[in-house]
Amino acid sequence: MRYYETLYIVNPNYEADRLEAVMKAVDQHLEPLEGLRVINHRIWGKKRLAYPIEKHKYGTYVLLQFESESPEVLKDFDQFLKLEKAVLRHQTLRLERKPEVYVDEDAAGEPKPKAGEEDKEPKEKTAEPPATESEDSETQPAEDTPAEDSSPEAKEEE
Amino acid sequence: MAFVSRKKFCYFKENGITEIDYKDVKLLRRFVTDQGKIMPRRVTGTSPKMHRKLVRAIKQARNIALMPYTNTSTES
Repeated sequence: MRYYETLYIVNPNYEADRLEAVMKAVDQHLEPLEGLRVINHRIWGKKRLAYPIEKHKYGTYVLLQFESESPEVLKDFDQFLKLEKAVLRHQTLRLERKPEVYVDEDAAGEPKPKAGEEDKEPKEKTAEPPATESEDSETQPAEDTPAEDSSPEAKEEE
Repeated sequence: MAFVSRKKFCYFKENGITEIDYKDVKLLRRFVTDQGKIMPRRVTGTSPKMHRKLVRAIKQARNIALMPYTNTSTES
């Protein structure tokens, strides 16, 4: 079993309905494939692109994480995304370990831990009962990708 | 003395980071110049192992337009 992560950029002009339709189309494409299971499929947020793609300055990032038994399906999936007009760009990577299931809560509201704070965090966790530990490990990867991240960065570039 | 050597250290080793995520643009930004070039190891002091991972992550981020390939003044 291997884990994969696909990040794709959807045309920014697609509003919520059409964006959902695109995501649904992706889901429907993956669904019938054997040995493939979607773990996460969520909108990461609308971000300013570092460089224009097809003359678009912004893009809606969608993050998809899944596990698959056979790597052959990736070729087909890659082709599918390539032909999907709404998808400006996509990139599939293999993950080293199983991704955490993303919990849709206000984890992004927490301030991003600074270099020094990251050191302390694991130590604090060990002191707590193991039940809370697993919760922490779930929220941590979510912190890396808060939608709020995009706004300050976008400003910096301007 | 004319040359005062600064103590260099590997940012990732200091902070116990073993994996670099290409989506963590905030982190990656520290290791590129204003032009978007990847800074050499002799400047950042990153360990060889982590530098290789860093380079990979930056290039992945570039491919998906999270980071610029180049950042010339004509842009933005």
